[in-house]
Amino acid sequence: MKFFLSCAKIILLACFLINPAWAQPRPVSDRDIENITTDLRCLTCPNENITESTSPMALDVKNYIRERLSAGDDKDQILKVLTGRYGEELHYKPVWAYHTLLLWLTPLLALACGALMIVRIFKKDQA
Amino acid sequence: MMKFIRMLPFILFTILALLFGVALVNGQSANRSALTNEKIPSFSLRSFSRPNALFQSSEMQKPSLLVFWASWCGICKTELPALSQFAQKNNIPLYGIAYRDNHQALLTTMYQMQHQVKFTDMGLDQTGEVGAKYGLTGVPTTIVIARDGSIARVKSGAMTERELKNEILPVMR
Repeated sequence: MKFFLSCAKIILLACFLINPAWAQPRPVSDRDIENITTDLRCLTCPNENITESTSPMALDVKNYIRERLSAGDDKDQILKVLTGRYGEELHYKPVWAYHTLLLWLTPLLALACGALMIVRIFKKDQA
Repeated sequence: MMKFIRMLPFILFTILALLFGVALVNGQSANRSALTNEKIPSFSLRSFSRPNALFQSSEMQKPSLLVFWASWCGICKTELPALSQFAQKNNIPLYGIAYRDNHQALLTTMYQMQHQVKFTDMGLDQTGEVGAKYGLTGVPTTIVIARDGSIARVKSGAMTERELKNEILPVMR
């Protein structure tokens, strides 16, 4: 009896190990893809993000993301490759780097200028 | 000091206007690809010009031109004869990749253009996978490949005669 039980255990274990589910790529939902594509600009129709766009470029990007997520890559790895192909323009949020300093600092400078002018006007009124 | 603060918004505005003006005149941002100066991404497609052969990036002559086009793209069909004529006249290899195209439609278009367009080799990128590797945002897109196998220039949209002369020929020499 013990022998038969051991055999059954071995057969069950073997069935589990050779289950084709192990070889299946990771399932990727549309939600997983949208988590990445919502922040990406469609370069064919710049007023749409990749999620909403139906342009061939957007389809290429979505297919690539699905393929890489399925292969086990993470968001950062995927975005690095896509930025290398399409450039930083692909991102709605510009990167924080030397060449984008002006872009990030201009609103702050404009705010500072506005604040200075308001202070000056108040001082003038008081005087 | 107060005078300077009062003038600051105007100074900032002038600097920004100048920067935008320079970028607009140079037109660099519009046509500079992230792949410029990078090695050409590899691909292997079934050749459309040679039966039972592969059209591979490793076999492409350098310098050369690689144009992504499609039979469904009207501008491509208008541009290609001029591009092909220019390539033949200057002895530049011209390669083509039909992007997200259909085999039958491509056969018909190639037949219609057989006397006007001559490709050194051509492949069909049915799924858009190769186009994605080249960061394609539309067709036609012309890629100028330099002697060292790097991408010298990427032009989205049809190329004008002036662009062909001024931007392709210097790379080919």
